[in-house]
Parts: sequence; C-alpha cells; structure tokens
Amino acid sequence: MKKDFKEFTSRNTTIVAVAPHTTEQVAEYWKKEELPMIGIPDEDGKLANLYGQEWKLLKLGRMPALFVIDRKGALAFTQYGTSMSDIPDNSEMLKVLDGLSGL
Amino acid sequence: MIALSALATGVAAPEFEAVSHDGRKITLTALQQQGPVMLVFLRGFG
Repeated sequence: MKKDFKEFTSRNTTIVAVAPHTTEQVAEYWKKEELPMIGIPDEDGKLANLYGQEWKLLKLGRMPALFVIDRKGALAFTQYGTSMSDIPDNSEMLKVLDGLSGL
Repeated sequence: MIALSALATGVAAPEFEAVSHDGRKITLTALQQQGPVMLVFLRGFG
C-alpha cells in the first residue's frame, strides 16, 4: 500500500490504518517505516469492535479487515480477512475506487 | 457474537472520532468530504 500510495491519493482517497497498539508504538512505527497514511492507535480495540474486526483465538489475535467508504458514507467494499495475509491486492482496491468515480 | 457484528457492503459506515498517531483529530465525516476513505485494520506489528 505504501508503494502505491500516490495511486490512491490521485483518486482523492484517504487511507487510514488502524493498529491495535498504543499511540507511542504507532507513532514510532510510522516514523521508522516512513508510512504516509494516517495511523490510528486502537489499543483498546474500540474502533476494531465498531467495525467488527474478527478475533481468531486459534490464530492468536486479530485478522486484517479492509473497508472502502464512499463520499456518502456508505460501505462500498468490505473484506474480513480469514488469515494473517488475507489482504486484497492494491490493483483490486484501485478498481473499486475507479468504480466510485462520480459518487 | 463478534462475527454477527460484521458489516455488509451498502450499509452506512459507523461514524468514528479518533486521534491519529501524530495528534490530529480524525472523524469519518470530515474525511469523506474529501473523497473515498480506505479504512485498513491491521493485525498488528512488532
């Protein structure tokens, strides 16, 4: 996502990444990795629970989840990962965003 | 019970207010005024 960041911003898309860590941990990681997107610390899981991010006890924690929200505030795309690496390709997400043009 | 709270495409995204890693106040309403929002929930790092 970092490498295609400009592709997303050229579509007026804001990327927000929510991490189950403290503010200090997220700030440090964002600085170290030079991440350009907005990072939101969610140590208590409040935001994750609001969006239904799944816990898998056997896989020791949270599964990734991804949502695209259109200008009207509706969910245009939702994916709840079933494994640690279950994340859609950037190309797939860019197609979703292209489909929102004009909305 | 957690699985039952999963959100479907087409429904309204839950509004939220949060503080970003660099101290900015973030609301979904403000972000969506600028265009689509891609909200990514990470498994974690470190």
